[in-house]
Amino acid sequence: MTKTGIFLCVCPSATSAIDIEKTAKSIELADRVVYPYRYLCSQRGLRFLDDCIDKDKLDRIFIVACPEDIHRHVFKRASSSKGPGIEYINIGKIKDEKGLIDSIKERLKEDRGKVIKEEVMTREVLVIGGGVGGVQAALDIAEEGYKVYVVERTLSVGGVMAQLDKTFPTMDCSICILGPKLVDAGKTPNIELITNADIKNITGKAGDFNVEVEIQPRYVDMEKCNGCSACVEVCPVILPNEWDLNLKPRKCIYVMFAQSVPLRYTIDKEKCIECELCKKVCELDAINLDEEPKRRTLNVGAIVLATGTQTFDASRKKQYGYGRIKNVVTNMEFERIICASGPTSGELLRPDGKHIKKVAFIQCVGSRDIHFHEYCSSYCCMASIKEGRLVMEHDPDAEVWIFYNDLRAFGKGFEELYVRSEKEGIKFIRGLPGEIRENAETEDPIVTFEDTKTGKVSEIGFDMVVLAVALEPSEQNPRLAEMLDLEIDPHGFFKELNSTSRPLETSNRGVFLAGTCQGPKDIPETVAQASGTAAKVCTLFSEINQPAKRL
Amino acid sequence: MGEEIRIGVYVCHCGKNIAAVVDTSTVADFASSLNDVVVARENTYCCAETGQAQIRDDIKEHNLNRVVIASCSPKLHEPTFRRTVTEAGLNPYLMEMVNIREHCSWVHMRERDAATKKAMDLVKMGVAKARLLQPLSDREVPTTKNALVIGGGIAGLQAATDIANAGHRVYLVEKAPTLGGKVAQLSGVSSDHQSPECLLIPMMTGAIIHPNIEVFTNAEVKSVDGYIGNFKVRIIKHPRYVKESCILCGECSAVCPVEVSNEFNAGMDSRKAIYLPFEQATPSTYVVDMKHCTRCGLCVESCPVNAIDLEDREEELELEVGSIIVATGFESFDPRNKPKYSYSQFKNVITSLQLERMLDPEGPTGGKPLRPSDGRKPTKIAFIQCVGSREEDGNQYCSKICCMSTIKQAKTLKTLFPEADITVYYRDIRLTKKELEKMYREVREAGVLFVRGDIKEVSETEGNNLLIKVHSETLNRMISRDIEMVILAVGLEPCIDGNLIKEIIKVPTGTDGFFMEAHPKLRPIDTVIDGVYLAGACLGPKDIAESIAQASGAAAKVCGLFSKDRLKLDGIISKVDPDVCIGCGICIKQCPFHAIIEEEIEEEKKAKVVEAACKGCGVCAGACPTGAIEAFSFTTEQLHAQIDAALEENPGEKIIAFCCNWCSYAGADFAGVSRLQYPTNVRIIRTMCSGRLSKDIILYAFEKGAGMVLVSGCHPPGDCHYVSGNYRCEERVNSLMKTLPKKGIDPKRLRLEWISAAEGVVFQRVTKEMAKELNDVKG
Repeated sequence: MTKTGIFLCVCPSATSAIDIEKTAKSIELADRVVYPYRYLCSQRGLRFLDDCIDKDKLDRIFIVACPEDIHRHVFKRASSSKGPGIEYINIGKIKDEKGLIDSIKERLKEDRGKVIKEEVMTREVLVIGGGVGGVQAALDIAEEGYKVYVVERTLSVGGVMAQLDKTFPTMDCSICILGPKLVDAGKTPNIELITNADIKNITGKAGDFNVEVEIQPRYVDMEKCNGCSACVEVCPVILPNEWDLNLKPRKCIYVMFAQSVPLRYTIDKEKCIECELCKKVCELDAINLDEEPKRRTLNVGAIVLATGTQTFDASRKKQYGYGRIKNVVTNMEFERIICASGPTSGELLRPDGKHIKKVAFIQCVGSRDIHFHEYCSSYCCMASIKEGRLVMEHDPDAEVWIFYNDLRAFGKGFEELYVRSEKEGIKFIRGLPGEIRENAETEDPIVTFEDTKTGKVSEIGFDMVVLAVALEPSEQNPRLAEMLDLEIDPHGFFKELNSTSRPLETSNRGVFLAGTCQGPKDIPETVAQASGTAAKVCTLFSEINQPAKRL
Repeated sequence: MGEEIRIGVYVCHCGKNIAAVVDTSTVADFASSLNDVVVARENTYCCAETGQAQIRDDIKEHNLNRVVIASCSPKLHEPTFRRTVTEAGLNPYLMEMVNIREHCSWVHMRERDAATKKAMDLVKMGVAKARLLQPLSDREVPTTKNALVIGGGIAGLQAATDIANAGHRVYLVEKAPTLGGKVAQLSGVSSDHQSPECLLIPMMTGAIIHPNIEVFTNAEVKSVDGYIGNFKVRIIKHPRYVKESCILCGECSAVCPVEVSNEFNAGMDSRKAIYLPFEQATPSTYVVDMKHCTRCGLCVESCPVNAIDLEDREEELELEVGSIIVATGFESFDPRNKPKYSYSQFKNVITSLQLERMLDPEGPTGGKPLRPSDGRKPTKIAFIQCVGSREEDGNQYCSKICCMSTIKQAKTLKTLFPEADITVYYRDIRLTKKELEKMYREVREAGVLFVRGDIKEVSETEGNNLLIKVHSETLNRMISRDIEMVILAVGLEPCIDGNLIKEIIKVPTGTDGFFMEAHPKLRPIDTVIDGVYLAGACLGPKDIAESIAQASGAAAKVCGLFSKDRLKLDGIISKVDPDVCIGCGICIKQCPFHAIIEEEIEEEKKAKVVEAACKGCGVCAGACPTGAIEAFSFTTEQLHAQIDAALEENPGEKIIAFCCNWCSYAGADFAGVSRLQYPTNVRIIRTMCSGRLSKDIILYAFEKGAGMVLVSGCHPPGDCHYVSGNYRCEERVNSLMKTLPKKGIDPKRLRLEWISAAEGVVFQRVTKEMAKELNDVKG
């Protein structure tokens, strides 16, 4: 006769609504014992478990406790030397003792001892997204000795960080610190960058995912092109450059930005007039206007999602006039305007050529606003302070106003920079402006606001108004979530297994999260988290590699 | 050697970072006029793929055998460019960087001409040094694949678990008698009020039973020697006085006559001298607090399993590890330091931590947040934010988690006491996580009042009630409010033990006292010391999720390190020329790493460098009286050449600043990054350690006519990356000061300053003062 032990973890957060004694009574039989224990997952609890298995010679064990992924590692090790495998019943979803009794009885009827097959294991990893988070994850995973594929939708890795001018709070030049990391990623033998590519389908599970990738044609042979740019000189088609948010021109054959990795040219086929001048001039014979999309199937054991975010469409906030008023720009546009490699070569000029001497930054555009996004985008306060400082660096006589609600300078060195900036002359006005109008003659935006510190309503004209726009979940998220059977949180970001204790993992055991695809974050937090996913991949690979177990 | 020197010089624009101030084409033209320079070019971004390709192509096409790159700080891109030249077949040590960004364009933003002249000087110095560079080879050393994690809080537990799961051995050292850290004291840990037990207990148990983790509680790190892959760590295990056979019956505690304030409950109740720190303490064994034990022996008699041994002794262990993770956490701010809050003076002023303990069903009040004075339910409650944070005269930084914690606590109190008036006095509500804004709205909708204002005073009225005076920002006037219980949302401070660790491991701290990461943006986990990583709040205030993510990141760094059997160490070491060595043994005494030994060559005593142990500080070279020791990449000849080049024109107007690589050079970089402007006549010469400088080298600068000389290094006692190099430097400078007048040199022209990596401001101040003095002397 088999003797079954049912260990019931009594923990105030999970079982407060359950009558333990009643449960035990209705389940216990001669060959079935219920063992309630307060905090079974504690060191004492484990001793109790071991003792009972020995003493009562149990040969079938159920652990009735909170979700298995919280404590599997604890019970697995405790029982491994003792013989019987462990079956888990999740108490987290059970509301009362009736539910508990039913689910235990149900499980008792089931056949035990199903041997699960040894799991298939591919020790290769897919990182989706090639921003700073994805690149960092790839570098750390490759360093651990695993092969990594980075699939990036655009033509180059680098993401949003590559578009920024400087970074807060140290005012480091963004591309100067990011560039080498991108070059590293391009050169690491264990990393394969698959750019200009989309994920078409994903099947399988942890240890064995099959990923369909479609690589869009560049019409330039990546193997042959050496980035010499002879083609650019002759190309007659001039287009607005998306990289500089259309503030600067580019040719139809182009690289995304000077530090692109891989540094290979691409033809914008939709706009191409097929004059073939580039083809004639290319000495390497790299141009192929008939190139077709290619499909590849990757077999990987783990997936890191680093799909990042997109920015809020500021024209949705109608009262600020973005899109209508020329000199109201978003902070991403402003990063390009002030960047040395941007459209004005770093001169602070408006499109009409006027020097920018008086700038307003408006916070929380699309964030902390129940009409759009309730959450705080967390980067914007510091980004505006940084941009304000850059304005004053360009022109010490410039006037900088920052309109805010709560000034959230919460990270390392942030408060210090805020205090210093206020001392050095940036005006901080508590109160978000109600509306922006345009002075028809000067094209100056006029800001109407109430300073909540004084209660006074004023109207002030500026040379330029910069909107600190919210971060939004990437539009790819729902599709990826469906393919990977992941949860999306109410805001549209990927949901972590637990927002406090398991920030890197998801409900799919082989899928991990890095960076802003999980929620707004600044760069260091993204980088640290991305490194963290490398440890999770390592753990997964060592877990899955263990021999088959009886369940 | 007779080899023809062929140098390539690259002047980087760094977009506009350099080019907007320095006239780079003039600098490049000037460089091409220098001897041995075969090619000199400008480049928009030397570090970009095209920039690097240009350098590689030139090396091949022009047969370059030395490369000088005038761009940013070598601390940023030295590894990048070393690799670039290696790819073109050049030895990586034949590349020299000239810092014309942090040390020139960023600090002389409004002086274009002077900055351009300075950049030319710096390039000239770099070329002069480059001519004398020698190829070096990297050393390979084996790696010990064990890790040490210091701190058994949530971050340390996570890091240890991840490394252990990857199959490596981990030693987890915790100074308290139990694992768990600060999280163990919380009543609920997240916005969804997850119980901390569910988070912490499985982590603690998992660590203690993990076959790859060895846990040392009640233990401290005493010393750390060695280097990446090969650290030797001594730890002290303090006696617990209770053996593992303890069955937790509690008899001992029941008979113990000594009552002590219970730190776990934030001093709100008492415990015995033999105690279990908290119910789920792990390892789950009682412990004796010997500071308070009277050795009466009652516990020993009462123990049914003879588990108590009051004669238990301290043990010292030596561990060999390849990598170290520092996860020493934080301390809560002690509000007694701020008299205006009257904490500890009035009973009903408590800290947020005390409230956490009261909200815990197992806490001192059984889960009920009652007034300490009379145990009554408070009906008017005030939270005061920013206690010990965002202060002008105290901790300047924001502690980040207090707003979140207050919102969580206010929500709990409002649920427990729906009719209570709850007000939060704040400056800015700083919530950062995606789910918190909703919670903030719900708390306000539930009736919690948020008042923006500045607390002036907390005083006591009748019946232990309180009166707070606030300057309300909205009303723009002072208001007074009667309150029954005040909760101070206390900030986070660097851990005191962190200071000890800082001395032992030499990880620098910032002005805020928290450990400094290698780079605040892109290397938030690494430290300047290879093989040592940081996790959790020892870096600065962090919430639990962030600490956990970062701890996993630190674990990944360790796993990456351990994925290889051998490590490469750089080739910058010292070497003794036995023909010149007189066997005096001074270097042996001064070497901080015992890396120089005595050997006999033809019956003469000679010094010999043990290459694997040498760290390349050059303290020996600075000490050697005969010049028999050379510190590679910082040879006397190279330093002389830099001085010569710097002082070729108008030497009397120039300040030579010798800066050590780790602190003062980084401090000067920080001045650049912060755009702190200082005089253009400063010429920085980098050495690995200030202890590299001999008296002769400093004198050489004066002989060549330097107006002023600054010698700078890391702050004593503990900051020096090479343990004691700064002291050696100080001794030499002090002794030189005495002899300068004899040589007709005013000692005022020599200055010794300690400048940390965070003290850009100090670098600016010192150089300004020196420039002024130089001007005064001349004038």
